[in-house]
This record gives sequence, structure tokens and C-alpha cells, in this order.
Amino acid sequence: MLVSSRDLKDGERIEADICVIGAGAAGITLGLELAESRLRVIVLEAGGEAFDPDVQDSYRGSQSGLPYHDLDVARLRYLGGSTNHWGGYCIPWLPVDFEERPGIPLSGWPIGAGDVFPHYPRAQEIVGLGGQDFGTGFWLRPDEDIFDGAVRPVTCLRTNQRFLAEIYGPALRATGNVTVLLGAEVMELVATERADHVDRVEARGPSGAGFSVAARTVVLATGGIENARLLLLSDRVQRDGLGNTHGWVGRCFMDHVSLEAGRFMPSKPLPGGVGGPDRVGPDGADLRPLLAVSEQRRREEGLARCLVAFRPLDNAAKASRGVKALKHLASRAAQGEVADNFMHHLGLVLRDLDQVAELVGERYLGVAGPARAASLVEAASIELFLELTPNPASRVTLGEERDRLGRRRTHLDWRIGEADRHTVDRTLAVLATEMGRLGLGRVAEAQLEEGWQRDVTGSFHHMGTTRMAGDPRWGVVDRDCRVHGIDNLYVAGSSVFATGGSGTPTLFLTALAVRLAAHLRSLPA
Amino acid sequence: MIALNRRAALLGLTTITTVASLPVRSAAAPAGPAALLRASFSDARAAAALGLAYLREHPSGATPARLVAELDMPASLATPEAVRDWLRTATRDDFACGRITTVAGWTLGRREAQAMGLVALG
Repeated sequence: MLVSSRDLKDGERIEADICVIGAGAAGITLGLELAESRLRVIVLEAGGEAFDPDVQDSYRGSQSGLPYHDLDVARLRYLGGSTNHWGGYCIPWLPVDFEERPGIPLSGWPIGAGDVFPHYPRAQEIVGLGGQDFGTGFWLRPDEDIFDGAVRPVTCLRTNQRFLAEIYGPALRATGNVTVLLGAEVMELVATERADHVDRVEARGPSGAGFSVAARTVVLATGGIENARLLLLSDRVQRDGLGNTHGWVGRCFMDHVSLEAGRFMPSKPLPGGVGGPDRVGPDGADLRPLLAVSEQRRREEGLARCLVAFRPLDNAAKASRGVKALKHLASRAAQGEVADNFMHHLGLVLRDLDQVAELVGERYLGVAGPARAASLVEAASIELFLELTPNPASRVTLGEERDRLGRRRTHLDWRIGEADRHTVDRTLAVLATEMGRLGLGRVAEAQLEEGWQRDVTGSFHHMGTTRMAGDPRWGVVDRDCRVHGIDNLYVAGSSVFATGGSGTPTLFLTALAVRLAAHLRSLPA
Repeated sequence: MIALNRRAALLGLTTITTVASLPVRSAAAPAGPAALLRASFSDARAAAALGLAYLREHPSGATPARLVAELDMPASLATPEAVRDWLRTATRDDFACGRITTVAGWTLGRREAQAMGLVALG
């Protein structure tokens, strides 16, 4: 059922077997997987069925450290959550992602590929890629697959089934045992005196009525930033926040970032169009063929994931940091607002004046700039998509400002360590050698300047703030996604990621949610 | 960072990366390694520009005799086409063995860079 919490009375208490907080990718998956079971499931969704700026406002927050997307832009607070602006790109993870990798601090998961991969088929069904092959054979013929060394092609597929609320809203509405309560703003998770059990979830409906949900099991599924915020807000018993005994809640905030890091001059068309633009694959799938350093080489050198794409130089000009910053400033100005981090964006425009001038010249004056001239010789910009290493200093905390319901807003201090430069440098070096060896072209490696971290772009992949660790001293949740030390509190979604992984987060967190649902179904009544 | 003018570097790179696919312009076989190499590039001037950048960045031992010796081009190569094929294979071998160098920010096989250096000196 999908029902509004508007009619709930002040002080009303709801009982359930399972209370899921949040109806985004993880929450919807849990709802689907627990449907038609004997369990009474309540899903609390802060928003309604459509975007509401007043509800969305609770996502505003403050920032320090590196510039990041405005926090109310980077995620969405209504049914479907951030899948409502999901790009739909899916890449499965690799076994190496779960391993402890030398050179990557805090790497290593307490679970392995064998714990998650069996749940991929169901996760793929949920995101609309059921039965889809993620190998390269369907778009790269065996005689074309000359990548026999340290660089390998990667299949990235884009699903058309990405707005999960539109797709699964009817199914959830028709389900008897799962009730999605819309407009239910969670205020706090109230723990018992020893902070080892969640007694109830306190929430408010749109009319301001306060109600509570007492459930045998509670699952936090509100996204990579909000999961940490809710735990930190739940400080009635544990003063530093629930589940925060060892101080990890909110720490190790990560994203996958993109950066332009060099030039590529191809010798000939690349096999299968690898590294090139999105296209429709032979079987009709929406395909983005990428390159990456092989799993074996990553193990040998302790490298994080770094996907490689080539972008024609004229497109690169349009996607340059300066041009993006200019567009951002213009868009905020058109709304009568001054952008957050205004000076940073202005700085990016000023540092990138040649590209900005080129685009403006082309668009308004009809003048072709040097990048367009360069594209005549088919050179490309190298775009990297980088997995960041977990960094405890990169963290979500509570700010001083409060939202309309009196809850402290999020403060994000985003940081990227120098260690990540190693993966960028080595990926480019390996790429340069391999493309030369294979006779495919030549690479110019950009030398990252000091402060390069300010020029990367996040992907809205919020991860790591309730990280999984076998030892409670090193994380927030255990191998079952249960919060260490609390017997009935679980976390779903990308906040449990111990590392950012080779693949994209949504498919993986969906697989983790399918796994969690199986675990919850197996719990004794 | 990339020091060479971007367009010049790209044109130079073009002459390397298209070395295997474009027809050689000279009909008569030139004599000597430098002349053979010059004729094997699709755009000798662009190759020379990149070669000059190589010589500037790697001045040690940048003499024609030294470059010819290090290139170790088989004496049996008598035509630009043969030189082109040999350089293509040599370059791939260089990359496979890690014999690489950077010119104007680009990662090149050592012998292709030396070959262009020789063209620049020629």
C-alpha cells in the first residue's frame, strides 16, 4: 500500500515487524523483496509521490573542504529517492574490490564476491537489466579483442528502467503486507538505555503530528549522506550518535569522480568503439564501452578503480571545468540566486578562459576555436572515472543550522587524499604503454598540479559513511549490514560500502539490498 | 605539462599514428637512414617538429651518429615502406619492453622518438 501519513494522529504508535526508513533504490528493493511474506513491513518515506521543494529543503547543508555539489542538488527526497535523477549506468563489481589491497588504506571487506554476486541476477531484474550479459563478447568480436595485457575493455550498460518509483509504485501499492507511508519525516531512532536496541522510530507527518513506529527490525535506507545524518541525530542515549561507538559514522565519505587527465591520439578506429561515446550495442542494449586497468595489474600495484573514456576534443571543451562552472553560475543567476562556492566556480572559469572563450565564441560568434581545429586530427581528451580511497577525514557531520523540523542540517567536509594521485598516474602510464604496444595510439599524460582535487567532478555516488567492517573498531555495520552493537538496526545502501568499487553503486547496492532482504526473512520471528 | 604548441604536437602525433596507413610519397628510394626515415613519415615536417622537441628535451647524445647507432636500423632496409614497417614493429616492441620516452608530454616508443629526432637533424 502507498498511503499518506497525513491522517495519523499525534502520539499514534504503529507496530511492524520491519521498519524501513527511505524509499529509494535500497528501500524499494527491500519492499519488493519482502512483499508477499508474512512480515508486516512499514516503509517510511519523507517525501510524497512527487518533488516538493519544502521537503527537499531538508537536504540543504553546509560544506567545507573541497567544493562539492550543493547537497540539495546531489540527491532527491521523494518516492524513488535519487533514482529520480539516476543516469542508469551499470557496471558490476569485481572480486578484487572486496580484497585488502596494498596501497589502499582501509580496503578489504568482511564479505567477498561470493556473498554478493549470487544476488546480481535478481538485482539486474530490478534495475531492468535482467539476463543482460556484462561480458564484452556481445560487442567486441573475438578477433577484435586484442586487449591481452594490463588494459581491459569494460562493459557499461545503461538501463531505461531507472525511475524505480514509476516502475514499482504500482507493485508496492498492490502489496498487502508492505505499507509505504508517505510524508513521514523521521526525527530520531530512539534506542534503549544501553543503546543496544532500537526501541522505536519517531517521525512526523505533513500536518506536524508526531507518531512512532515500533518494529522488531529497523533498516536505514536513506542514502549515503542521510543515513549518517539520522544516526548522528539519534543522540538521545548515545551522545555521539547511534552506532558511533568508534567514531566511524559519517567518516570516509566517498564519491566516484571524473577528471580530464591527458590526450589520446588514436592510430586507427578502436576495436568495438571502446573508449568512445555511448551507442546501441548489437543486442539493442544501451552500451558505454570503456577501458580499465586489468584486475591482475590492480592487484599487483595496489590500484583503485579507474575507468577510461575518450572524448573528442570539441566535446571536451564543452565539458571542461570552466565551461561547467560558467553554466552553473548562469543557471543559479537565472533563478535569482548566488551559487554556493561562488568564488570557486568563478576561479574555475578564470583558470579555463581559453575553453570558455572557445565555447562562447563558437556559440555566439560562429568562430571555431583551436580545440575544434585539433579535433580535425581526431585527438581526444582522456576522461577518467576514479574510485577514491577511503579517507576518514572526508566526513559527514551535523551543522549548526536546523531545517524546518528543527533537525540539524548536514555538514559535508569533502576531502581527497594525495594517495589517489597514484592511481591516476599509474592508470595513465599503463594506458600509454598498452596503447602503444597494441599499436592503437599514443597518450599524453597530464601532470596533475597541486590542488588537482579541486578540479574533479563528483558523480552523486555518496558512499562510505556507515562503512562495513568485520571489526567494530573499523566500521559501523557488520557483514550482514547490521550496526555493530545494536541487535535490530541494519543499514542498506551505498553508505555501507567499505570501498567505492570497480562498478557503479546502484546495481551493487540493489544486490546488497536483495541479500539483506533474504537475511531479514531468515530471522526468527 | 605539454610544452609544444598543442596543434603542432597533434600534427606530429598524426604522422606517427598514421605511419602504417598512408602511402609513402617518394617514388625513388632515398639513400641513408635519415633520408629513408624522412620519406617513411606521412608528414616529414610534422615529424621533424616533434623530433626537435625530442632533441630539446633529451639533448644528451643527440647527434646523428648516436641516433643512428641507437636506432640500430637493419642495413637491409632499402625502401621507405620497409623502414616504415620496421619502425612500426620496433615501436611496439619498445612499448612492450618499457623502452619509452616522453616528448611534449606524449609517451612515445624510444626508437620512434629517436627516428623523428634524426629527421629533425637531417
